[in-house]
Amino acid sequence: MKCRHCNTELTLPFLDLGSAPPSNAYLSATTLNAPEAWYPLRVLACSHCWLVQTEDHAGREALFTEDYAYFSSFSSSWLAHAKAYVGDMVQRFKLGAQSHVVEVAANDGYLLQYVQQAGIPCLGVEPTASTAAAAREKGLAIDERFFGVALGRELAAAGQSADLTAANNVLAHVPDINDFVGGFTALLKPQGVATFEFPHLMRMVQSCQFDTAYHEHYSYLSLTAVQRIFEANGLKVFDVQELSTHGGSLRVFAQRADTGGQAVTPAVQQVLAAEVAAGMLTTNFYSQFDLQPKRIARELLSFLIKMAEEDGRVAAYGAAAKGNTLCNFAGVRPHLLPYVVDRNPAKQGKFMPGSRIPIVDEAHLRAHRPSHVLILPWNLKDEVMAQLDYIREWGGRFVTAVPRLEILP
Amino acid sequence: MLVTGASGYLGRHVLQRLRLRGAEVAVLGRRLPEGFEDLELVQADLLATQDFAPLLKEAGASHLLHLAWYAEYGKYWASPLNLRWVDATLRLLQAFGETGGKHAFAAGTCAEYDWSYGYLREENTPLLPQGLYGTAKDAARRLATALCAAQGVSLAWGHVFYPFGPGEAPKRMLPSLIEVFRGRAPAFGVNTSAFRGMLPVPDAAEAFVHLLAEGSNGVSGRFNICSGQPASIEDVVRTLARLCDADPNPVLALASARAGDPPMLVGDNTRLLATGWRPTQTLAQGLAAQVAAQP
Ligand SMILES: [Zn+2]
Repeated sequence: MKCRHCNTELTLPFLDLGSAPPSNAYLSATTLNAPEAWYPLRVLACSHCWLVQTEDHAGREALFTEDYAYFSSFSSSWLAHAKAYVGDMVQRFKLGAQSHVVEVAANDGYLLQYVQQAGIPCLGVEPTASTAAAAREKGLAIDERFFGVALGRELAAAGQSADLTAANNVLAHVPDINDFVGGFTALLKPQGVATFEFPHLMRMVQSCQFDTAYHEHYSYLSLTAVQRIFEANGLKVFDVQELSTHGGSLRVFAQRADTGGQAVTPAVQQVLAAEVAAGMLTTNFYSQFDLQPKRIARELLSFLIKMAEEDGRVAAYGAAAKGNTLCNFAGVRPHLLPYVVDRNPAKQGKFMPGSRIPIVDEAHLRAHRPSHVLILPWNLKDEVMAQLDYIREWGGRFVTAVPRLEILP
Repeated sequence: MLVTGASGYLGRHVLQRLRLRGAEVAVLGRRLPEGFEDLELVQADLLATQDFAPLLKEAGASHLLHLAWYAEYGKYWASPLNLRWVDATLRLLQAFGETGGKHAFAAGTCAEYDWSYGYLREENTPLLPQGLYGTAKDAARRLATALCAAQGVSLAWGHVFYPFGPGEAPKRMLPSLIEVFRGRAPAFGVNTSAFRGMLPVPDAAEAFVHLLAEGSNGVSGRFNICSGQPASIEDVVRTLARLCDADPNPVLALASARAGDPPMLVGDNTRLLATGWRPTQTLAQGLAAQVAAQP
């Protein structure tokens, strides 16, 4: 396979999770009786541009026919993050009624609703029909197509050029990253600003977050790689912020290379230097990572087996992609982990893909009084612990598996 | 092949590479450097020569490697002599074209770039020359590019980063650190958290010669002359100390960053690699050679 950015042959292994079902292919009581497709899940690093990328395989298109099961608005901390972002951008770039904001991957309008409330004209791009419909119910204008150079040009020609574009947690999910980035170059006004948020590969490796790998996650990004990809497609990085979301994310600010007027901040060089210091320009950084998932899987299985043998009652919380990757790679099944609690009604009554662990509502916790609750989305650990604090009434303990198995105080 | 600046630090390494290649070499300058007395000398004071055409006609070279410039440590950055070297460079290139020259290489600097970008890439990173030195090199490059295009001469321009190794000026960072680790000078602080695009000087010299030779294969334009692999200054300090059997801590303890000193100053060398040039030494090998060569 060739690098999706620079076309170099990929030879540097990063992560091999064998095979897994699509992470959003939740099963219902009827599909439980049907066969389930598993696809290879391997991730490689480009030794030239350092873009880390999921390997292509036959039948990939089949992964994306499902309707999107993740509605952003269900996480309250994520909404607060979106609101704060809009406030910051309005102030920093002096946006107002004469400005235009475009969000790519607008989802259900979780972010643009705050732009709208600030009285700033905006447009969302969201190709998934069900989420686009949810956004329209908020009164937002949505273009239901896939973003890239063609759509960027078309929108610009139609008078939709942007003073600000937002693209949160989507850069890592696009197969043709060059075309996607080039779309922003085409869409921005001469002095416009584009922001992107994505999980930072450096943090992923430092915190052993292998469970952020799933098929729809095409790229794992460093600023080093992103800066190179942006420059090749007409965008200049001029600022970067380190965020705590998703286990450590970057928010990258970019502008058109030809016309942008923002000065480059020292933060850009600081993050680049931190990446070099972490070894991200050496092959070892990438080739050593694959040891971590094996260790984490062993620790989790040992814990679950011990619990099963000692009559512990273990439950899990958060039926998201991370949990699917972890359970499927470690080989966790309902006899070791009988159910997963999730707040999203769309998932309740369904089953985790692959592991086939039932997904239930929160009332199950009070009814079953588990001795341990395994928090699968470790990035929301604090929020989940606050929300489920009542398990302490019966002596329940919280557990996380990543970066190492930990029974929390 | 005609070489200017042959007595300089880079020039002597270039002559060694040319000797290894068995190239036919003449030196344009005031004198032949020590150890190269067998070469042909076309004698001239470059800053004083008004018309280079008779000299170039005499030399009859098809290839010109122009390294000469004012480079006195601590002074070159802001010296007005930079302006005179712009002038000399252009008159030299003009005469080279007029007398039938075909391919030229000239040494520029990483100081032609906007340093705030960290990674400096030929196609994308804006040029924002630093100091009078960087500004003069930038101006020389722009003028030389237009001049050579008009005369049908191919021009390769090297943005030279930090070529380190034997023969470096004693006051520069690495020779000074070696003096410290040999107990001959007091410890001083360096910016240990910074990364620099360093390249062992023999590999830099080989890059110049290679780019010039590839001119007949259509290679021209701007090239970063650097390793592409950021070198940690802390690593450099530790490696030099180890090579001298000394303790790096006195230097590390004084670590400091000057205001405005960029954390990253690294060139992307993809363009250079694409021409077929390859480095032959690692950072550690280059440092070992430098320590061994310093008396
Ligand atoms: Zn690549």
